[in-house]
Amino acid sequence: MKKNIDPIFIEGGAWILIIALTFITLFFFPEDKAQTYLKYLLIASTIILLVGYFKSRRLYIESRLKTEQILKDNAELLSRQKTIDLFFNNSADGILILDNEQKIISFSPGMEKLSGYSKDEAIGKKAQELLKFKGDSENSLLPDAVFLPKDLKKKPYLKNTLMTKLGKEIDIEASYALIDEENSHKALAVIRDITYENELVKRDKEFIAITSHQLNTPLSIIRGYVSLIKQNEEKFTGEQKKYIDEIYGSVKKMIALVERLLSISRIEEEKIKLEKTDINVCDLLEKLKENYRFTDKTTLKFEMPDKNLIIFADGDKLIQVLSNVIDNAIKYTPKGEVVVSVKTDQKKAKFIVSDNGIGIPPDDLEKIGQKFYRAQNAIDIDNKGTGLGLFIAKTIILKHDGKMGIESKLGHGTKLTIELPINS
Amino acid sequence: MKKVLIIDDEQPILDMYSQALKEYKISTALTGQQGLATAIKERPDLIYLDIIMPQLNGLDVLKELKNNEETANIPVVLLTNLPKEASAEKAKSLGATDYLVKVDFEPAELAKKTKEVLG
Repeated sequence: MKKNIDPIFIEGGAWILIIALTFITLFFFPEDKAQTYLKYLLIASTIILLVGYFKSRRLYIESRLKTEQILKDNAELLSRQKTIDLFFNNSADGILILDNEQKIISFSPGMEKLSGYSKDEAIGKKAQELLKFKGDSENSLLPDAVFLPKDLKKKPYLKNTLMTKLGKEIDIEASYALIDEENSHKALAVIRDITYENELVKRDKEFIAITSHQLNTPLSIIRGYVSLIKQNEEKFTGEQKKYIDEIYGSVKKMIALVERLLSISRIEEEKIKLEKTDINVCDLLEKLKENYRFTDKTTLKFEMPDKNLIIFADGDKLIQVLSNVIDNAIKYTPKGEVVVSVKTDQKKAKFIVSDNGIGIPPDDLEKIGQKFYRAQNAIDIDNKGTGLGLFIAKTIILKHDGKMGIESKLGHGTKLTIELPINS
Repeated sequence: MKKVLIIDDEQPILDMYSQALKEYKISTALTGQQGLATAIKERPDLIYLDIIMPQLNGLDVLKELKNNEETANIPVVLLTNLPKEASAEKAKSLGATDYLVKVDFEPAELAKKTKEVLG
């Protein structure tokens, strides 16, 4: 094996050789020859000196740069450490570091506040011995999966109810990161108190339940009784029939409005649940048609598809979507025609609602379907709309893995298409 | 004649559905307790049950009905204005035959549904 010789030995060896040669020249050579040889030796010494000087200068500069870099790195590390300490000490979330036996090695002030335990009480204790969950929860604070990186994706966090030192129950959400060190693993856990958030969600749910019950109870009574009256409408005069139809139409509009407002709350909670079944599209359109039996001013036409067309969807939600779209088309087609048709191929069913109404200005087109958004020419016609109908429709369609498209020409009409997979 | 029991704390609702289901023998109850007693006494073929009622709510009534051997086999359809996501799953797990939202059902449609359930 080739060994690298340290340059210092080469330099030292060169000097020893020069000194030895100088002595030999002085003592063993005649004076005239010695003078010539000494000149050469002087030149050689000067070269060695110069090489040594430049080399040591280079080494000096390098070491100075290295020192500066080390100082800079240290300052950066220190600043980073300070930031981490600030974050650790001031975060409202609780932060814990656990060793691979789940023993607590760091316990942040946020964690002290959240759990009621002091740092001194916590350090060195096993996490599951100190921090207890409500009931017989199988979850320890730290899922074992945290130490098994392949499973980490499955359980990156958990939600549970933690008992504080004083016995108070708090809802928590914990997220984890594995600190993978050479000889051991540690885990960082960040614990967030979500009691207040959960309380808000709960209140929201209660609000939905109460609102729907309080508003829908009188509405269902009005709707029911009007429909009972209508069963005997042959007994009424034309004018009476008209009044009853007005009440019936208005109560249905009000029911739809309440449903829209409730849908918004559900969407915001992401709680829209689909109850998909096999739906016969013709039956669905017949049901829809029935809802528009009193529509006048505009002619609403239904072009029925193949009687055997079945799609796998949530029928009630689909009626809600199509009603929202048809209501809009009728509202913005003061004189003209609204046509509902269905086109299919093997994979998709395309519902098309086209009208020759006022159309949508090009600048508004891409914003249609955003929550509360209404085009100016729509506001001019009807200033009571909510701008929610198409937003809800779009959300429900996306939930079905479908697509909603809109084409429009100002002053000429609009064509809205809803594409749904037949078997999703 | 088949017997239908309607349990709801709103008298107008009871009257409205009684009118729509006049081809059946109708019993009505304005509270959960009254409904339970009527169910045991009359053994109806079908029970329509509201959820939000004072004292004993519909889900508790349903639990009692299903825990009582005498009434356990009577089909119970929840007829409420609570949205489906609020209680439908729970009602089904307690043994409800169906869950209907009142505001979506006109009396004539309820008559149709009754025919379907009673066969």
